[in-house]
Amino acid sequence: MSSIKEIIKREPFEKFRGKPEVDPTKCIGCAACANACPPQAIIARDEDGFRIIEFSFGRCIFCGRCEESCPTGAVKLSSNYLLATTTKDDLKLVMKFRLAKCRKCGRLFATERQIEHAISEVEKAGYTNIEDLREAQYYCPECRAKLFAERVLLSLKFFRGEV
Amino acid sequence: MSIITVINELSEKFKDAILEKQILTEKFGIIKVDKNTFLDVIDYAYNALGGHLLTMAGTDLTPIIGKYVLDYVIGYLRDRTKLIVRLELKSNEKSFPSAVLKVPCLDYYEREVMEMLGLTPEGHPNPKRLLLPEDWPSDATPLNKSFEYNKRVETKGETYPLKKGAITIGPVNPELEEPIRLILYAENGKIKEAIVEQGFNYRGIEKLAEGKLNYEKIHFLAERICGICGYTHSECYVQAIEKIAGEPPERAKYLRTIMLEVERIHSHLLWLAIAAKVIGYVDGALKLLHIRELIMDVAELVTGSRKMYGLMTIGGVRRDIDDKIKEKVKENIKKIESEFRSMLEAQEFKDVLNKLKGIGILSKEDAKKLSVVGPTARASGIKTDIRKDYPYEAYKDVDFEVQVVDAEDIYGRAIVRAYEIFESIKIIEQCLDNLPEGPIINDDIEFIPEMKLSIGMSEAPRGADVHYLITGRNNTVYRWRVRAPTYANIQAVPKMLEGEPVDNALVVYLSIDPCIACCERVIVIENGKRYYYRPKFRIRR
Amino acid sequence: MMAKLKIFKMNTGSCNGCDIEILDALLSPRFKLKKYEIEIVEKPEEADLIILSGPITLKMRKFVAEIKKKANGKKIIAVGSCGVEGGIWFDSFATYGGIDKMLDVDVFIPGCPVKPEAVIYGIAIALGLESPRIKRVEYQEP
Repeated sequence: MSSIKEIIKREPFEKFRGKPEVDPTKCIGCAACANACPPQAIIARDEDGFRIIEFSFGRCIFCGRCEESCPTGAVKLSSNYLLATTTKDDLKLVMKFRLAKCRKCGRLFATERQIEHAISEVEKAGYTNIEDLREAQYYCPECRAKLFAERVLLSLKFFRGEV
Repeated sequence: MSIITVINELSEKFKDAILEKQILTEKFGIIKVDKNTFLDVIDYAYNALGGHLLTMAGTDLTPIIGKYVLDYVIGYLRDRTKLIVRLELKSNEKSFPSAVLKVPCLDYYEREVMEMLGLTPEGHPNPKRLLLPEDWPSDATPLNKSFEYNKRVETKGETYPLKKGAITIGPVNPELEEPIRLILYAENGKIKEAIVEQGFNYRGIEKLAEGKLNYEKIHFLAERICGICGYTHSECYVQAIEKIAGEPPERAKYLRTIMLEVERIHSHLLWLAIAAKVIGYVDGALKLLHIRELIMDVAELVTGSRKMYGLMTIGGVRRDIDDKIKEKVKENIKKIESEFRSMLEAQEFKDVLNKLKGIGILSKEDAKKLSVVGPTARASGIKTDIRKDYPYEAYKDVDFEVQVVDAEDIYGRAIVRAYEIFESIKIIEQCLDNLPEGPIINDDIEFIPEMKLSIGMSEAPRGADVHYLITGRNNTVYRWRVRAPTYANIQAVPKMLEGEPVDNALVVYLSIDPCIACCERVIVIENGKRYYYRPKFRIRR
Repeated sequence: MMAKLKIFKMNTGSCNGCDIEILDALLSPRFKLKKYEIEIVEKPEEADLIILSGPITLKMRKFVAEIKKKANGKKIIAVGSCGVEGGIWFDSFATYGGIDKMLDVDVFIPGCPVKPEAVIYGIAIALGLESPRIKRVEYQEP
C-alpha cells in the first residue's frame, strides 16, 4: 500500500462534489457564502479594519451552496476527497480584506473590493454618470439614503424654478 | 369521496362535542374537540371508522394564540382522506387525557409530548422518558418556545436502571450499526419480556429547524436524519412545502422518482447483506455488497455523491441528466437485475432463506392493531403502500405491483424486499424512457405564506414516512414533526421477540430493518448486572 | 503473507451514513486493503485502531469516556463532518460537538459521508504509510 494508485480504484465521475477550491484574487469578501452555508462551516467577521472569511473543511458537508451563491465565481467544488490529516488546523483557509470607511460618518461598512465590484457591474449595465455613482457608493447605506434624498430635493427645487 | 362525509358522520354522532370544523382541501379536514369528550371521539374515529394513525404532533403556540395544540392525524384508506382531531389546551393546563387504552399505537407519541412540552398524559400506564437521559431536569422541555436551541443543561447522560437478570444487547456491538439497547428477560433460554431502549441517537433535529435554519437549508438537515433513507425525508419535507407554495415541473417529478427508487434498491441490498452477515452466510454478504456497488455508481453519476444526494430544492431539483448518463444508468440497472436474479435462483441462497422460516412471527391481527408499516406489514398480508394509497411525484404515471406475502415471519420480510428490488428496476426503466422535456425548477415560487399547515408523505424503504409542518415567519418553519417508519415498527418488536430463543433476538430485531437514526429515540433498560452478548451465533429452532 | 489488523468501531450518535461507508471500506471486495486482513473486534482493548463517528450525543458520553480509559496509546480516528467538528448540529443542546472534545484524536477524515477510499487513506496515514496532502492557507489582500 505504498502508492495512492492502489487506494483509488477509479477516478471520480465528472461533477463529483469534493473540496471547495477558493480563488482569493476573485473573492470580494461579500460573505454570501457564509450566509448560505447550512452547517456554518464558512464564518465571516469584521476585526481591526479587516473582513476575515474563514473556511473550515472539517465541518463542510460538500453541498455546493457556496458555489451557487458566489457572485464572482471565486468558489468552485473540485473532485478532491483525500482530505485526511493529523491536525485540524490544516483544514482551514483564512482570507483578509480591507474594509472601506464611509466618506461622511467614518463607519466601516463594506470591503473595498465589494464597492468596486458593485460599480463595475453597474458600468457593464450601461450607466453613464459614473463619477456621481462612484461618490455615492463610498457612503454607508444610511448616509447614502440621505445623500440621494438631498439630490432629489435639489432637482425638485430646480424644476420649480426656486434655484 | 371527500372528507366532508366523515366529518358529517362524526358531527351527527357527537353534536356539541365538536367545537369547530375546517376543510382545507377535498381530502383533508380538521375538527376541534372538547377535552371532556375527546376520548370518545378519537375512539370512534380510529376504531369504528377503520382509520390508521399517520402521526401525532404537539405544538407550543403560546406566543401566538396562548394555547398548546395537539393534533392527531388519522388516515382513511378507503377514501384516501386525512382527518386531524385537534385538542387545544390553555397555557395553564398542564395535562391531557391519554388515549393509549383505546388506540395502543399512541404510546410513544404521548410520552414524547410529555418529555418535550411538559404536558402529562393522564391515565398512561407507563409514563417513562423516551429520548432524553434519566437525569435531565424535568422543567427543561426542549420544544417549548422559551428554550433556546443551543442551551447547555447539566446532565451526565444517565441510562435506564436495569432489573435483576437482564441480558443487554448494545449500544456498542459489532453487529449493530446504530447505537440502541435491547433488554431481554429470559426464562429457560426463551425470551419472556423484551424492551427496546432509545435515545442514543437523539440530536435535537426538530428544534434546530425552528429558527436557526431557513427554508432552503432544512432539506439538507432532513437528508442527514438518516444515512440510508435520507432522500425520502427531504422529499417529504419539500412535498409539504410545495403543497403550500407551488408545484414543481414534470421533469423534476420524474427525476425525483428515479432517485427515490435508486435509494430503495440500495437500502434493500444493504439489508440483505447485513442479515446474511449476521446469520453467518458471509459469502452471500460479500457478493451482495459487490452488487450494491453498481447502484452506488449510479447515484454518484447522477447526483455527485454516493449518498446525501443533495438533489432537492423547493420547486424542483438542482441537477439535470443528459443522454450519456441515461445510457450508463440503464446499463447498470440491467446488470443488477441479471446478477441478483441469478443469485436468488441459486440453491445455496434458497437453503439459507428457508432457515428463516417460522422465526419472529407477527400475526396479521397484531400487525393491524400496532399499525406497522412497510415490508414488515406487507409480509404479514396487509396491502399498504403510500405510493399507491396517496400517490405523489410520478408514481401515478408508472406501472408496478405492491408485493404482499402471507408469511408473517422473517422469511416473508426477506422475500418481500427481494421482490421489491425488481419492481424498483421496472419503475426506473419506465421513468427513463418517458422522461418529459422542460425546466427542472419552478421559478414562480417567491413567497411562502406563514402559519399554514401541511402534511408530506412518502414510502421510504422501511415504510410510510410522514412529516407534519407549520410554516412560520421570517423564512423559518414554526413546527416540524418527523414520524419515521421505524417509529411505528419498533413498537412491534417486543411482541415479535416473545417466546423466541435468546440466540435469535438480534436477527428478529434486525428483520424490521430498523433505522434508529430516523427515530431519534432510544430507551434503555438496565439492571444491576451487564451481560455482553456474543455476536457470532447461528439460527436455532 | 497478510498482516492482521484489528479494528474497533463505534457510532456515537451519527446518522449512520459514515458507518455504512466504513463497512464498505473494510469488508467489500472492491475497496479493501490488499496486504492486510481486517477483523472487527468487540472491545477496544483488543484493537490496533479505533474508528469513531458521530457528534457525541448526551447518552453516549458514558461510552466514549470508557474508551478514553481503555485507549492506552492506540490510534484514534475521527470520521465524517460530525466526528471532526460536530457537523450540521454542532451547537445543538443534545450534542457535545466533535470527537476531539472528549478524546485525543490522531487522524481526522472529513466528508459527508466519507468515501470508502478516503477511509482507507486515513487508515494508511494512521499506520504511517502515507502523509497528509492538505495544508492551511492564509491570504491577505495586497
